[in-house]
Amino acid sequence: MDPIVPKDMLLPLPAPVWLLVALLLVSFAVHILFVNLMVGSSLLVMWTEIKGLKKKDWDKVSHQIAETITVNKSLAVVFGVAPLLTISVLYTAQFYSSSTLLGHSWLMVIPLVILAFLFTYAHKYSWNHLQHSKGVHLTLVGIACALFLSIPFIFLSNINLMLYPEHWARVHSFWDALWLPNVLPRYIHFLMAALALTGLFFVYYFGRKPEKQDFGSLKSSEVVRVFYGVALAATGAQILFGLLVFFTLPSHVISLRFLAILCLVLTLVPFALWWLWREVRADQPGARFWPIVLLLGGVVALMIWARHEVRENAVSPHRALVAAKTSEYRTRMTETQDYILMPGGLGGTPASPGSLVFTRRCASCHSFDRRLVGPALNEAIASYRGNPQGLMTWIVKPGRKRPDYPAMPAQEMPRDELQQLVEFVLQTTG
Amino acid sequence: MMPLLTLMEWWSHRTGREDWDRLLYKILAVAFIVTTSLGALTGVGIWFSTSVVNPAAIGSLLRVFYWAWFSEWIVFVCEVVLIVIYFLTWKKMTGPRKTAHIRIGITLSVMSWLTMAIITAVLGFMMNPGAWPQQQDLLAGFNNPAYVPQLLFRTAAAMAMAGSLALALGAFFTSPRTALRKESVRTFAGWTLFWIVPMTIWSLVYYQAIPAEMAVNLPVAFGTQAWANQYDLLIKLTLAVGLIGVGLNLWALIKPARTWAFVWIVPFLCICLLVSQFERTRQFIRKPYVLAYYMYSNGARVQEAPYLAKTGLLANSAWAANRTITADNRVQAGRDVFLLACSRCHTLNGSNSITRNLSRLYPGQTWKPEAIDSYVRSIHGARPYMPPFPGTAAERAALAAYLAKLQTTSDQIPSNASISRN
Ligand code: HEC
Ligand code: HEC
Repeated sequence: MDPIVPKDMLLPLPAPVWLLVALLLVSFAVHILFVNLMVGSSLLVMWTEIKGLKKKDWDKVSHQIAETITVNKSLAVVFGVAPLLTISVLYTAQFYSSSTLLGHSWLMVIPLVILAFLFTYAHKYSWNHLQHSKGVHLTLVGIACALFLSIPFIFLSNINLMLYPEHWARVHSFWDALWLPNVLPRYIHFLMAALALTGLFFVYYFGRKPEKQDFGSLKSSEVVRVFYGVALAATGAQILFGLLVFFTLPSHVISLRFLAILCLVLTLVPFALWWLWREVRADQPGARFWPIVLLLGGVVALMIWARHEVRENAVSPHRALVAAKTSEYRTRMTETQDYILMPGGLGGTPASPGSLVFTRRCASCHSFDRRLVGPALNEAIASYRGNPQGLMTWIVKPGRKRPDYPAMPAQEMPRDELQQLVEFVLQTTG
Repeated sequence: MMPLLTLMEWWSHRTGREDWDRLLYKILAVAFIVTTSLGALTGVGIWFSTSVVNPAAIGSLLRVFYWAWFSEWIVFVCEVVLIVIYFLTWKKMTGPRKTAHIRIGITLSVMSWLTMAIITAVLGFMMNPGAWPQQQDLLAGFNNPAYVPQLLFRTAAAMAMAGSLALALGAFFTSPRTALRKESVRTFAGWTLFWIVPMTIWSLVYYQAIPAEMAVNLPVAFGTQAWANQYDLLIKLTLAVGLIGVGLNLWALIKPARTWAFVWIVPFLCICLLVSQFERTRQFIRKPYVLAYYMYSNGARVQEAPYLAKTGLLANSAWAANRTITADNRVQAGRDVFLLACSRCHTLNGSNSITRNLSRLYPGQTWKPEAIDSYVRSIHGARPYMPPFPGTAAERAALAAYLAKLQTTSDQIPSNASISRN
């Protein structure tokens, strides 16, 4: 199906493209890191709290996890602004189209996130009060988790939809966008990444000062091993789900460079898995922590790059169409201004030098026979008939006459242009 | 909020008032939760809603103000990080480290003010872009005439609002008839009164800086068309709300102990009412523009107008279902024209409903397409807050046909109508 081709904004980009791309990738990496921690910890806090029902000591672990979530979630939100702004500038035509196609569903993100946060706070701050009504307490975190699990669907359906303008014509709602082939696999891919990352984070968190951690009979090395296990399982599953994402990608977004990045990732991951496995089996886990972080950090960076490749491959043909359309529109728009503002309308009077100056300097605010920003010149000119000097003075240093109009800004220009302009204006209104 | 809390923290530290310190912490806890969940998200929410409601406008603004927003974001990140630190270390940094903690509070206060300073520039720009339409660069945009008065007004208003909120919370967190209750009520009311003075002065200066042709909109902006004739009454009501707020604050100074706690919520409600009325009015009076002198509320740029009038809205929209008008699709095409030209401000039956507006325009009559057509032709002349019709005569006729039909049939606007532009 032919893609829908909107026009771009008629203003230049605020910065060179490479700079915006760099900002987008870096700020997105930070944002997604905290999003992963926020979603992953919510799931893990619920899991450990349920474990704590049987074995009291896990409840203490869970409580500590809960302490971290509220910080991570605040950072996740504030770090989201920069990538959001940058993607809106870099991919204006695509991103705004998909956002508006989703309409209210896209806006639902905000109230849903607020709700999720409030439930998270309620859960954290009622830990001691609800010590004996665990059912209620677990319901709080359950609702928060359900919210955190549903919000990514909206994000993913939007950023997926923006890549495929060829589908826009038949997408009328969030549900249509959700069922495009790539969304669900990407969702699972995201969840697994969140769990892997959060697992590692808590390995660090609970491994920091083992002597200070007190979980009763539960040794902190045991806690660390469990979180290594989480990271291991999630990273392993990622290979499977990664392939699923890969096979649901449409063929036109796959390039050689993309394949090369993926191959690199696939060679790195087994090392990470092996080290994770060794840590899970170790008596005193922790020795391989930083190598693992480095390796998986590299993998995440590569995946963010791969993601960017896909986006570029998907969007560039459409971007070229948008650019062509925008520039054609701009040209035709400027041409038309030369004629349409003349009395008598759309006629073919060839442009005189004065009329060109007029188009450039005055036409956005003045027409001859209609009020635009400024008054219609046919009437406004009355006091300057036979007084070109007066008109020149007004143009260079306008005064204030009509209370229901804004002030006209002074129009500086070379003497000869000013003369041509005034001649033209007086002639046309004459 | 932060300057007030930091100031009081410093004071209670100097005078060794533990009870005050505990009270301030409770107030901060509320402020913390509200700013990090509701506050942070409504800040982000603006980006979501504007991108759906008027993508053309926000897309253009972003191209002008990208770096302003980017630096605002950096300040905002610092602000959130600092508020987290400030709150979480309140009970840990005591004794000799209290001074350091107070410094965090001071930095935080400066950051929150900077955020406001940048945002106000953008808001001021949307109303009066100064020299920007000619120069089209960021600095020209910042240097807009309404900037300084608006910033000073907003600073004072924010301080007064913080005072009123603290008054309400302080009363809630203290027991009646204690010395602490008395002191907190008195202090916060005094603070609020202190800031109401500059707030009033700067709002008057700001009022003078409103471009004259926008000030014409004030009577409608303040209420609605139906209320425009009662402009005086509305002004009086607003003044009354203000006076109730001031009066209660004065009473608080004189008789801090003589009432129930919930009375102290009223000044806060009053000031919230005033501020939201201010924002509403500010939003309205820049009509018919969304970015003054550059873009109309319906997303059409001022410079595009002649071209659109020649070639048509529909032909230039990538999204419209009907690109050309024939005898068969007239009404359908008219609906598309409505979505493109009017739906940013009018719904069919909801707020600012077009059907209600039409019935008021033609009371007790059948709506005639010809009459509507000629109204729309000079729509901007008739009601300056609406932009000139941005399309061809044929499109105007189709729109009129569609609107006339609405008198007898009903219709629904899809939630993603704004995409029809561009
Ligand atoms: C930014 C918009 C803008 C631009 C650009 C602009 N004008 Fe104006 N012009 C106005 C406004 C607004 C008024 C009404 C000012 C008033 O009456 O206070 C006006 C008024 C006038 C008047 C009426 C003066 C009078 O004495 O009644 C003339 C003539 C005029 N402009 C000519 C021009 C010419 C020629 C140019 C191009 C060099 C130009 N304008 C550019 C906005 C503009
Ligand atoms: C900038 C936003 C905006 C746009 C765009 C807009 N309107 Fe309006 N319109 C308003 C407002 C505001 C009112 C006043 C409503 C009130 O206060 O009751 C209004 C009132 C009206 C009225 C009643 C006017 C009267 O004299 O009482 C009609 C009819 C109307 N609009 C038709 C249209 C049509 C048709 C379009 C599309 C071509 C349109 N409007 C576009 C904002 C807008």
